[in-house]
Amino acid sequence: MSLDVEAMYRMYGHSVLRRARQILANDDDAGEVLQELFVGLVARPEQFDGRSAPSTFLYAATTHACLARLRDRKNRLRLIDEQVRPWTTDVDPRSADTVAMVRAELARLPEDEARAAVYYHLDGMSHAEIAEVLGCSRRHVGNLLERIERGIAERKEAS
Amino acid sequence: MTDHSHVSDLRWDRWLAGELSQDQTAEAIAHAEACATCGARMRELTALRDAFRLRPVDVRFTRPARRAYWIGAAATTLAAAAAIVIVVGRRGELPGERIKGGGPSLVLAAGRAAQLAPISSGDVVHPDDSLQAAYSSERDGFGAVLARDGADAVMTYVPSRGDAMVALPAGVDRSFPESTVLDRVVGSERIFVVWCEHARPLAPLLGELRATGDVTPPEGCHVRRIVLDKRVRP
Repeated sequence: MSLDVEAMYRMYGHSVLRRARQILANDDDAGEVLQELFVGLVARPEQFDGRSAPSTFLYAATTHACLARLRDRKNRLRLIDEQVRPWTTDVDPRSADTVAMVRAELARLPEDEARAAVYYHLDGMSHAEIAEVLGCSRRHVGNLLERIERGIAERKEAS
Repeated sequence: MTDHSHVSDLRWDRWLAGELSQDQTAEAIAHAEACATCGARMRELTALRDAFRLRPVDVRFTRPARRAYWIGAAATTLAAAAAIVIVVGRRGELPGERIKGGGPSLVLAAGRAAQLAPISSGDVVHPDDSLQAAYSSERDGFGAVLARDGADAVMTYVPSRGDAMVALPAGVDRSFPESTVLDRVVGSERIFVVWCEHARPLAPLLGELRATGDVTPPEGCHVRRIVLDKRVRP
């Protein structure tokens, strides 16, 4: 299959950039994620096998790239040190408190929980949509989200 | 933990990309019409998509232009491997004039709704074209888009209602929250994209525009003037 990365960029680049800003709360880092992702697709177009919709693939790829960036200790410390203003949009239906709380937890959550947290809390996705992007059952999504909630509650109690 | 009651960003992104079926589209649009939050979110994501399209040439699949820079190791590897390379324009740089003094970058785009392109003075526009202002700014600010048309009528394009500037949160390549569809009055149309550190009433600016045909930037404000040639579509 021949992948038209340029067309994909023009159609979906805005979504990648917006979500990277939302997860990372940093314009420069978000711009780098956008670049890296599409440079990677030119280099290795087989990453997208066409079995899912491009939007689904790019949601997963963007989330993965952002979480990797947040997990990098150096980057994480820099992002925290910069105390960046949370990136929000004008009419984002999610509360700024929730977004800030989830963002603070992302770096310490296990990979699958962090992804579910991003999709649920930052993207506002339904359990069915999360299951589709993660490639798992809705029941598993529910379990992940419950685990996240429990973990956050426990950390709040402990602190 | 229950499901959300709003349409997700993923669904809007799929809608923008044309991935939704007719039924799915109808369902999402019907929800947005009944839900103010989702309606606003739909408009905002559309505006963000439109603003992204205004970015100069963020990713190109041609040889680098003078203003482009290499992405780094990945692109270098690609250059060695194939003729196709990606170059990226300077991040955050929008087409159009950059205002001196480290102020915001203000951009105006026009065209048919799905084909907006950056414009500058002297460009031709047509009735029913959409007009969308965008900006990049390191600071939060407030803004408006004012106009004086070929019949010397003065009007406010953004905000579409009221006398208060709209909030423009700091960011790169962000759209003003509203776009405008041009009316049928042809002739020379002056557009003023205004950005201010603090919200200002629009009445004095409109009064000056009516009296002099120009808008002087108040303190803490930047104004980009664009004179368009509005003609009947051939």
